[in-house]
Parts: sequence; C-alpha cells; structure tokens
Amino acid sequence: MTMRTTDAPVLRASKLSKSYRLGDLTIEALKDVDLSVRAGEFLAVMGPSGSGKSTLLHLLGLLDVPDAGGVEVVGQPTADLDDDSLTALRRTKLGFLFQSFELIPNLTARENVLLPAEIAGRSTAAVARLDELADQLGITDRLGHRPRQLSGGQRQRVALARALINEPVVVLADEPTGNLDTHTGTEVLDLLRHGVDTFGWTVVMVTHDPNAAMHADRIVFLRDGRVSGETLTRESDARAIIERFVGV
Amino acid sequence: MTALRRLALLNLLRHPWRSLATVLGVGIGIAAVLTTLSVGANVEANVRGALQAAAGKADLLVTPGASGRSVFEDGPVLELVRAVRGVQAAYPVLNTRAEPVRAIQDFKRSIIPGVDTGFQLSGRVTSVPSNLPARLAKGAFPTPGSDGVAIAQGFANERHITVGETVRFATAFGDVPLHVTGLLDDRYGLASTNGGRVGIIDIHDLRTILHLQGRASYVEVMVDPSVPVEDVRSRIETRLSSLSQSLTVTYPAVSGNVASGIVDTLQSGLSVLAVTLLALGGFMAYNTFMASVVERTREYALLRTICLTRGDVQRLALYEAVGLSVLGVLAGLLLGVGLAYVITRLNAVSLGFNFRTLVIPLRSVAIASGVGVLVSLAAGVLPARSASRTPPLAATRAAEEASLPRASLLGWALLALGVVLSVLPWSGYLALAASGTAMAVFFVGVALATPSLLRPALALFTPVLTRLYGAAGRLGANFTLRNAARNGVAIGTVAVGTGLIIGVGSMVNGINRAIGSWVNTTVVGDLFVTTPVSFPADFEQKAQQLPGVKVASGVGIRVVRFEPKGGGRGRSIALILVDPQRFNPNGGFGRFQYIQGQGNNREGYQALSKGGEVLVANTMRDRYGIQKGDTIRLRTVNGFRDFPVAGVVVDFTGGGETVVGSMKDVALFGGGSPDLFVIADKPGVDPHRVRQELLSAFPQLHLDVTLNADYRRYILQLTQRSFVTTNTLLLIAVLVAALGVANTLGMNLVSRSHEIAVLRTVGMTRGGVRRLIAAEGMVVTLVGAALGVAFGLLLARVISSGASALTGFLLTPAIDWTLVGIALLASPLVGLVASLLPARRAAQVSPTRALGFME
Repeated sequence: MTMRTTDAPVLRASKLSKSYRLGDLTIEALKDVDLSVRAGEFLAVMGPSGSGKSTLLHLLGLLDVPDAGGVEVVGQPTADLDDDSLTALRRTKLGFLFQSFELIPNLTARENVLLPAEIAGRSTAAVARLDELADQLGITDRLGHRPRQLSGGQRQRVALARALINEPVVVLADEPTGNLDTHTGTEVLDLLRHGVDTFGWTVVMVTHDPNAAMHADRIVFLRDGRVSGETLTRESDARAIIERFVGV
Repeated sequence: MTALRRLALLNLLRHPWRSLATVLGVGIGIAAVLTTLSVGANVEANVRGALQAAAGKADLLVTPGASGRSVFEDGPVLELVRAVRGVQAAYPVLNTRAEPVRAIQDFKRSIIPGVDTGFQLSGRVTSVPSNLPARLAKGAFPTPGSDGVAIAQGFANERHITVGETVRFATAFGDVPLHVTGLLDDRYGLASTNGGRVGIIDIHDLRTILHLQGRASYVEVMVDPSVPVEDVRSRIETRLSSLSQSLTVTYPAVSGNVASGIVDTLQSGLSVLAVTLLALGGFMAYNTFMASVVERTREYALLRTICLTRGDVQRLALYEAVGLSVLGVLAGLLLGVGLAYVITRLNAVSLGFNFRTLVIPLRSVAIASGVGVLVSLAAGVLPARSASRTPPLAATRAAEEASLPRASLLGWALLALGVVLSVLPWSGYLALAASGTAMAVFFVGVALATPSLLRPALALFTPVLTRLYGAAGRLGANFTLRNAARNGVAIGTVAVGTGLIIGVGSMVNGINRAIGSWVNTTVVGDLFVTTPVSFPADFEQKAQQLPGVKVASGVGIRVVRFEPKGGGRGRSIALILVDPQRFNPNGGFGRFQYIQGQGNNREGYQALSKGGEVLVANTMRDRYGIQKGDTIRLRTVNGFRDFPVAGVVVDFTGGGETVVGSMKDVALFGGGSPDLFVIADKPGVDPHRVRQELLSAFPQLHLDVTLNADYRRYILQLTQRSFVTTNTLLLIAVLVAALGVANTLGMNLVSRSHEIAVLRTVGMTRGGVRRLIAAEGMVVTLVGAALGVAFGLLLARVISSGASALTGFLLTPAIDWTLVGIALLASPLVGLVASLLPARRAAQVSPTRALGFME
C-alpha cells in the first residue's frame, strides 16, 4: 500500500487567520499563515507554547473554521463545506495521531483500527489492509487486546494504524511522542520516518521537541501566530536553526 | 450489527451497575403503572372467578331480583324454565349461612357487600351428582334424607373434621347436627370459593332444617351447547314475566359489579401515583444519559474527529437510550407481573376475597410499555443532542462540567412556578393535571437551582459531617457542590419522591380523619350485634326485654341495582335499611352527617319514617349529580322504581355508592331479617354486662357483640387496609429515589476517581473514602428530603383535590406530622444505604492505576 508521491500539494493553507476570545481579550492565534504540504513529505511544525501550532493543526485537520483564508485538501477547497462534508473529508482523506493516543477503551485494538473504515462503509477492504498495517507497525499479535492491556508505544502504534486504515492523503500528528518515554518515542518517530520513506506516507507533525523534529524532512517555525522561518533537516545547520528559533 | 449499534451496546456494558440502576429505575416506574392499571381487573377477576366457580356448570341463574338474599317458590319457576327451548336442565339451589359450632369464633365479615366470608351451606339436588359444582376428595355426596353434608377438605383438615363425624351447625333455627359424608376437593368449583368455608347438603334436607319447603335462593340453568345462551336467557325472562314473583335471569358472574365499584375508587387515585413514579424513573434515566455524555466528551470529540458526523453521534447516544428503554420495559413488565401478584394478594386479604387468579390485561401491558418507552426515550433525546454538539476540538482538551449561571435563575423560576401551581385553588380534574405539572416543574427547578441551594445547605451540613466523619465528611460535602449539576437531578428525585409521600400521605390521613369523624358522628350506640346465622324475626323484641337494653335497632344491608339517569350503565350499589326511630331528633341515638344544603336530621327522619324515600351518600351526588329533591331509580322486587331523595349524607361504606332507606321498605328489596343490630343501653348500665346478657339470652345464634369503641376501631382498620396498594407504591417511590441517589453517586465516582486516587496516595484510608461518599449521599438525600417535605406540604392540597375529583369523596388533606418527621429523619439513612455500593467501589480504586491513565 502506498500513498500518492507527486509534487502537487496534498494540503494547502492560504492566508489562514484565527483568533479566540478569552473574556474581554481577543487572542490572535494565527495570522496570514501560508503552508503547503507535498505528497510523501514529513513536515514538522515547531514553536514555543502559544505560537499557534496546535491551532494550525486544527485548521489543517478541518477541526475548526478559520476566520480568514482557507484550506485545500488534495486541491479541494473546504471553506464552503458543511459539517457533514468536512467530517466525511476528515474520515477519508486525513488521519490523526494524538498525544494521548485516544483509543476507545472498550474496543479491542483491531476494532479501534477498523472503526473509521467501518463508519465509512469500507470494512471489507479495510480488513485486508489491517493485516498489512499491523505487520508494518509490529502489532499483529496485539490486535485482540484492549488498550489498557497495551504499553504506551503499542497504543500509539494502534492509533497510527487507525489513522492509516482509510489510506488518508496526510497524517496529522499532535505531539505523538509527548506521553512516551524517549526510547519508545524514538521508535514511533522511526516508524513514521520509515512509513514516509518506504510507503510514501505524508505526515504533518506538531512538536516542541527538536529531536522529534529532526526526523522530519522540513521544519516550519511559528512564532506569535506567524510563520517565522523554515529549514530542511538535511541542511547541516538545521540544529542551529532550530535552537535559534525555539531558544533551546 | 452496525458499528454504531455495536458501540452503543458496548457503552452500555462498560458501566454495568449504572446501566442496571437506570434500567431498574425505569422498570420500577413501568411496573407501578402496569400494576395500577391491573388492580381493578384483578380484583374483579378474582371476585367474578369466585362467583363463577360457585355456579359450576350453570350457564344462567334465575334469581329473585336485586336483593339476592331472599328465597322464592321454585316449583312454578322450574316448571316454566324446563319447558323453555334450549334448556337442558334446571336445578334449585338453597343457600344459607350456618357455622360449624366449634369454629364459630372465626366468623369474619368481608368489606365487600355481597361477598360473605361466613360458612355457607349450599342445598343442592345431590341425587344428580354430575351437575354439582364440586369434586369429591374423599367419601360421597350426601343423599336425600341422610342429614349429611360434604364439606371442603381444607376447612375440614383445619378443624380436624373427618368423614363419618357428626358436626353441629348453628342456624337461625338452632343447632343442627349433620353427618359428614364426604370432603370436597378445594381446587374445584364451590369448594374453591369463600375461603373453602362451604358445604353441600341435599336441598330437601336443608329445606326441612330451615322450614323453607319448596323454596330456593336461585335456580341454576344448564343450556344446550348448540343453542346461544343469550337466546335462552331472553326466552326464560319472557316466560318468567308471567309469574307474580319478580325474577331476573343473569349470567353467573354479574354480581361482581359492587367489587369493581370499590376498586375503581382505589385504582383511579393510584394512577397519578404510578405515573409520577414512572416520571421519577425517567428523570433518573435522563440523569444517567446526561452524565454519560459529559463523561465521554473526549470520546465523542474523538469520534467526531476521525469518523462520525453530528447525526452519527446523536444516533449513537439514542441507540444507548433505546437499549436501556427496551431493557427497562422488559424489566418493568416482569416486575409489574410480580408486583401485581403481590398487591392482588394483599388486596385479597384486605378486601376479603379469595385470591384465585392473576390478570394482566394486554391493554395495560401496551399502555405501560408504551408510556415507559416514551419516557425513557424522551430522557435520552436531550443528552443525545448535547452529545452531537460536541466539537471535534474537545478531543484536544480536558472535559469540563459546564457551569450554567443562567440555569440557576431558571431553576428558581421553575421552583416558584411549581409552588404557585400547588397552592392555587384547582378543582376537579384540573387539580390532577396541576399536581402532576407542579411536581414536574418543581423537579426541574430543583435540578437547575441546586448549586445555589447547596451552598447555604452545606454551610449547615459541613460542620455536622465534619464532626461525624472528620476530613472525609468535609470533603464529601465539598464533592456535593462540585458535582452540583448531576447531584441536582438526584436531589430533585428525592425531593419529588418525598413530596409525593408527604402529599399523598396527607391525603390518606385526611381520608382517615374524615372517616374517623364520620364514625364518631354516625357510629353511635353502645353495642353492635351480628350473627353468623340469620337473626330470627323476634330478636328485636326479645333483646329489648333484656335488663339493661333500652333500644335494639335493626340494620339491613342489601345490594341493589341502581339505574343512573340519562341511561348510564346500571350498577350494583349498597342499600342500608335503618330503623327510622333511631334517627329521631327527639330521643333517637342515631345521627347522619349531612352535606351543607342537602338536608338535615329532622327532614331525614321524617323521610325515613314515611318510607319510600331515601338518603344518598355524597359520592352519589358527586358522581351522578343526585341532589336532595331528585329521585333515584332502584330495582325492587316489583321492578325499577323511583325513590325521592330526602338528603345527601357523608358515607364511607360501599365504596361511597350507598343509599340509606327505611326498614319499612325491606319488603321491596326481598324482605329478610336485619344483618346487624345496634343496641343502646339504659343510662348508667355497664355495656359489658349487657353484652353478657345478650350472649346468654341467645346462645343458639352465637352472637358477635362488639362494644362501640371496638367497632369503631374495626371500621377504621378496614379502611386503612384498603390503602395497602397506595402504601406499596409510596414505598416504591422511596426505592426509586434511593436508586437515583445511588446511581448519581456512582457516576460522580467515575469523574472523581483521579481525585480519590490522589487522596488515597496522600493517606486517606479506604474507610475514609467510604465515609466521603456516604457524606455526599447524606447531603443529597437530606437536602432533597427537606425540599420535598416543604413541597409536599404545599402539594397535599392539590393532590387531595385531584383525588376528590377522581373518587367523588370530598377530601381535605391532614398533614401527617409523624410522616414528616420520619421523612426527615430517615433521609440520611436512605442516603447511607444508597451510598453503600458506590462507597465500596470508591474505596477499591487503586491509586496507581487511577493516576496512570485517563481511561
């Protein structure tokens, strides 16, 4: 199973702006952000706390509606879509990976993974795909277990399998290693890297961890709701750039 | 199964105790509705069943008009009936009361007129045993001329009577020895009626004993199976009209109407109670559904993020509600059958009939199920809508219980509305609707206003709980406020349940006081005399000759047919025939309570003395619009006749449908002797001495002589027993409230397990955790009970008005302060009991596990 590996952006954000009201204050979480994600790319979004990275991820994931600008998913504008249409798009085109894994506790790993496909009416195809994904992620022998019977790393792998079951065009990961120890976190990041390299996955990952970000192809930096810079990780001075932007 | 339905099922199974408590809450409400709807049908079925069993193979009965107690010449009747086309056979039956002498002390009179619990000797044509409504367990049926009797086996065993023994039976003509020839099988026919207090004797022998040659109480008619029974009935009736005697041809079980009259009174009043219980169950279901939605905010948000639309989430939540509804209905129907059985058995004891069968009308099942499903689905709609509105972004945030400052204001507004509804002077059926609406509005008001209610309450309770339970008590009180929204629903449930108990209890207390007042006014006389056999014609004269006796006044009790004006369905009602002299304003010792503007003692006395006029009970006025100056149509031996109404009096006998007439008119209603004598002693005479004189003077009558105080107490006990169903339903209200509290505490526990784990980590023992949960439970029930008592005091009047509309009795509530005290004192106990299971579960929370993950 592979994902598209073309140069056309699978995800594009244009002039995205979003603000929130907190009592009497208006917080501008994002302002005029432009971002493109190509197929087969591993993009990390970094920034200090309050920089707007989570807001950006929410908007890219069609979880929230921008005040201005728009998001295109595989060339399809989403600004005028109703809630049901946005949900359908999320279900079929996007995959999500959360810091707290967010597995349904009373479903087995298999049932958790298959859930989006079942809802989308793609159970039959998904069952076949599940075995392949489970093998790729090393969770074949854990599929019959419930989340509380799995380690943190195993849970995140199950969550990743769920994110991939409907063959999304991009996986959006929000601090995916935040609840994992260093070793396990590195394993998960290596899996994402391997998936991108071998199967052509496209991943957008929000992180505050420079080591995690170095697994990506490209890093975009946010500060005060705006894009303040970016770098390719293959650049020799990538680490220095990270340190400069996030002050680590 | 689709993914959504499967998810819904798994969600229900995730919290089995919570699901069970919700199912039980709804189920109990449905059971209460089903039981209430079935009460009337069950009492009627059992009474009719008894009458049908007594009739055996008879398809029709020829009886002497409405009285059913007198006898008639059967020769011409038999000749005429046997000649009618379609009649296969006709046999005379002569019944009389005749107690076996050694068992005389067990004589009991039923509360239902016409249903006699004394021993019945049934004189039949024993030479044709195949037509007898009985089967032999031992021995043989008595033969003509043998002075033999076959008695029910159960009764014989109790009294250690065996076949071949001679037993003396007390009759109006003295003691009669009869030889026991056989024992009847208690499971069949006549022996299964009247508590097994029956015996079969040859009719010719009985006629000789009673000096009633050629007489019968009624004639049993067997119809050719190929001929429609109704056709034969019409033909017989037509032929009988040529005789001078007035006779009626009926189906055997028709005389059960009087029982249904009493039970209609009970059943209609219970309906409001049952529906309220169902509503309480529905509130509990709502509480559960809503709490479940709040708990699973992140899960719903996740599902919204990865795959479900709003509609999908709403469907998911509704599927859970449907699942609980279905289970609740099933549980309710099962519980309802069990509850109906228990209540019918209790009613059998209190109303004095044999329990024979349990009837659950399909219509009642359909209504109870339908209403139950609607209530529990309605309870799930709002939470389902709330769940569907969960934004996907909530998956990235911790769930919070929203505080609703505006809801508190709305809550107070609803509380005030509930109070207003309960104090306005509603009347008639509007009062019923008002009481139900007031309770619903009050409940929602309490639920919404709880946070502002709890703060001042906690200022009062916290020091007490701290003293009682230490830090655990203080924390438990604090937890109550932090779970205010959820606890508000539980407090509301307790408040409505308590309000119901106080309100209905006050209504019942009012009824008892009214009856007590009526008894004090009308039950006058020093001694009340009854006999298991019939009073001889000269009893009054002989009794008045006894030293110490001033007056002996007879009272006849009959069941007569009443035809309402306007062509309504005819009904059997109670007719009380009294000696007018007893009610002479100058010197008579009897009194009635007249409704204002509807007669007085003088007019009533004059009417009764004249004869041909009657007084009617106030319920006849309320139900049929009969007033002083109207006429009332009653069936006499000469057919229906209008009787002028001379007044309307308060009367609590006969289910309220009673008419008082003069003993001068007894011949119109079949004649016969009085059923009761009221004795007034001479001044200064000890009533105990007069009692002894009566017992000594009439040993063959085996008199039951009751002193006035004892007789009043007996009547009051009878009426209190008729509230057994009401009291059972009130107990159920307590159970539902306790379930609601337990359910809420359990749900609170789920959302606080992390905090409890922290408390355990820093040193709180398991016992301390149990005390913490118990303290929360006590606060919930105490606050709910206090609110409920206050509300119940206001509700008492509107409930009584509604009950007045339903029953026709004019009811004034009388606050039962003992009940108020019990409600307040027992509420913390209920809270303790309700918290037992949640407290135990809380104490078992592992600190490390709860601190680990948020699942």
